Amino acid sequence: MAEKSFSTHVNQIYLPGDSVVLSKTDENSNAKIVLGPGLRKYGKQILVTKPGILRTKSSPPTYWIDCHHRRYVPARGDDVIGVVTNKVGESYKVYIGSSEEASLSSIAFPGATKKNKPNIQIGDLVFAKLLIASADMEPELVCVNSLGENVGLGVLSTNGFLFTVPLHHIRKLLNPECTLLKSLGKALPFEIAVGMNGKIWIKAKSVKQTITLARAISMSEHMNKEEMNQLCKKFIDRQAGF
Amino acid sequence: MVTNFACLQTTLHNFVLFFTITFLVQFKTHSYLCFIKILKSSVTLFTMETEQKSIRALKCEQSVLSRADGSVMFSQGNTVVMASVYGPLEAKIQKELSDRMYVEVNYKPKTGMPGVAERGKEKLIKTTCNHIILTNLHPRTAVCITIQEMQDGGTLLSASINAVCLALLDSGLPLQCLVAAVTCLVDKKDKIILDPCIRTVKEGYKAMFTFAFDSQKYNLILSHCEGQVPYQLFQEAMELCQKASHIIFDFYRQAVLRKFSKELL
Amino acid sequence: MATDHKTLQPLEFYKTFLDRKSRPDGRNLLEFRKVTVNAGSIGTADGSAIVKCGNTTVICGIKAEIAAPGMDEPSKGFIIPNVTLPPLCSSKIKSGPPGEAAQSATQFIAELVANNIILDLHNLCIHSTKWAWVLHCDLVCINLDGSLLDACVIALITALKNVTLPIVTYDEELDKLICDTDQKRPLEGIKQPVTSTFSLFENGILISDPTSEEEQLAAGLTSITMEGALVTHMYKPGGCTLDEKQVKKLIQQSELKAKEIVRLIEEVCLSSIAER
Repeated sequence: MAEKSFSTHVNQIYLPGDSVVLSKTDENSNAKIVLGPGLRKYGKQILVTKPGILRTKSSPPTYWIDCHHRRYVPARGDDVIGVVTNKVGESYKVYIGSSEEASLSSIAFPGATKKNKPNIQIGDLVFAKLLIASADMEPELVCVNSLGENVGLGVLSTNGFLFTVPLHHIRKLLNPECTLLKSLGKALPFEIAVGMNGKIWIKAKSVKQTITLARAISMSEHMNKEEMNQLCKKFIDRQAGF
Repeated sequence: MVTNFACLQTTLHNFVLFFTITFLVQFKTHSYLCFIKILKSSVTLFTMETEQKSIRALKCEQSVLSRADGSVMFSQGNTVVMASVYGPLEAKIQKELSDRMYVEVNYKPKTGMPGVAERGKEKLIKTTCNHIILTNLHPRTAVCITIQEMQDGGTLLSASINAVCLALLDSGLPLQCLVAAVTCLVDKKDKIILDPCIRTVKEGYKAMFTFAFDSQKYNLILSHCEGQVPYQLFQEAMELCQKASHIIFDFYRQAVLRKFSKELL
Repeated sequence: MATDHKTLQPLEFYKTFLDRKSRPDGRNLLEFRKVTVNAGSIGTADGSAIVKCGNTTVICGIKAEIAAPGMDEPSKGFIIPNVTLPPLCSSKIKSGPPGEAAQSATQFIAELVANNIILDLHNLCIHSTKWAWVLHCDLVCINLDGSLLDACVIALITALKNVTLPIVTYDEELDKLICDTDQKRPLEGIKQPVTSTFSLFENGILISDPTSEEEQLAAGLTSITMEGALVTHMYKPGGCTLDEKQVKKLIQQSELKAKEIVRLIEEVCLSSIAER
């Protein structure tokens, strides 16, 4: 519905096929404008491809659609959690929830060489970064940074718990403004790895604690900030024995 | 003369009663959205409603299936269908397309195995989806769409298409535009009835049309006909369906708005 | 040079033609291919026809049988269409169970039959609730070069007009069918629907009677079936969109074609009767 779009449009619902009108300042300036997920250029128009809320940020002017997803589509630079499913020659096949399995070279680990390979079994969980993610190519994972240093990526221990949440929930948890994980941590110390592909690995002192934490995190999907705070409070109270 | 007058009076009375009752029924059965429409717009829409020229109440529940990437339970009057979308998935080698996504549609009837009639529906829905999904953004993948018929209250094809569109919206797959399908029926007296219920369909008709329109320019994407009518009537039916498709597009907007209500500040 | 261009960029190649309002085979955008019809070509069938629309060739053979009518519609006979696309008709058809193209063509013809657009099925009744004719209409495509539905419908109608059935009466007292094989008579009340297929391109260009190459390049297909001035069927399974003006244009064009084809079928049927 092209006629329904206006310039006071940020934080409004958009549906696929709607056209977005940029703010006056962005339209007149010569600076490059970045179109993020859910937007595409079609001739002179900017069309929406996904249903969601239009968000913007300045410097550089960026527009994108905040959309709900459940299926992961690989994006370069994302940290993801995957399950090793196979070993093919020098590399592993890792299931990360996308349409194609990603490959992870056995020398893409901190300190690994041709002779000194990491000990990875089929079924292990790895926390890795996407080095290559393109629609036409197989995604490729690494567990080191560009200098070959350890940056906290690698194999996750087997006594944790892996569960899946929708992708928009992951984005919410990783938002710096979201205090859920921090406040939960105050009540119960835990180790957590959050993958952009919707997978969360969590480990606390006991199995019971791990499962309670996992429940709390999945429950917070439909909660706003206040409700999250309430949840945490309740949680802390319960831990204290009330 | 006296009887005549009494007769006239009763008809008048009936007429008024008829209006009130229809209004009440409209109020009860039609969705909130339709009601707003009646209030907002002029008398034309209201008379349209009383002449059964609007579509039946639309209801939907999104993300009903926990494992699917997008799912919806959709009802249009008494017709209820459930649709699910899985994708982008890994395509089977023989189905893989090097430049775009493969769209697979499965239509499951209420009972028994899908037959030739279901294949026909699948093909119609598949080609429609191929048009609305931006298939070239995910090459060498597949998307699997399943439609489960739950209750047949007439107009299953248009309800399935609308349900698939809602499920696609729920899944967040990149779409070019939206699609809304409307069925109408030309009865034996050449009257056009929009979105007929199963009883009207069973009474017999001259022709039944299903049209689907896109959300950008309201152009025709799909057309499916049964029976025959002169061109003028065909055109009238198409225009009526085109108008009714706006209600469905508004409904889609409401559905998405409801889904994002927590995040809209 | 031209062939290289065609193999490498078929769509671009085709669009250069469309921009000049012509097509690689020399036709105008809305011109139909030459239609050749022959009735009664198969001696062993009860009715038959061969139709060629350009290169697309379809043979229709009809075999009549007597059976009990269905419980829900006791005074109606049956027409059972079956479209077969054998592997010989095109390089794209593989052997094995019927593919999607054949199934959807069969479904299309079956829909026309179900909507009484081909023939009033009451004419096939011998005795209500007891006996009725079943017409098995086998449509075999021996060369598939686009616009399959157009050729199928013409073949089916011509073959039906060519059908002669022995006069069968039912003796209620003896509960017996009496068949008079010496006398045969043609079917009555066959309608004359004509299907026209069009291809649509993204930039709003419409072409009629596409070849299979054109069908593949096009962004959408639509088939309009008309009987005289009546729109009986507009089959448009998704694809590129159409606005109202385009729909009107297509319907006018198919009305013109319908007139011509109906005249052709009548001529052919008259001459085949004269031969007999």
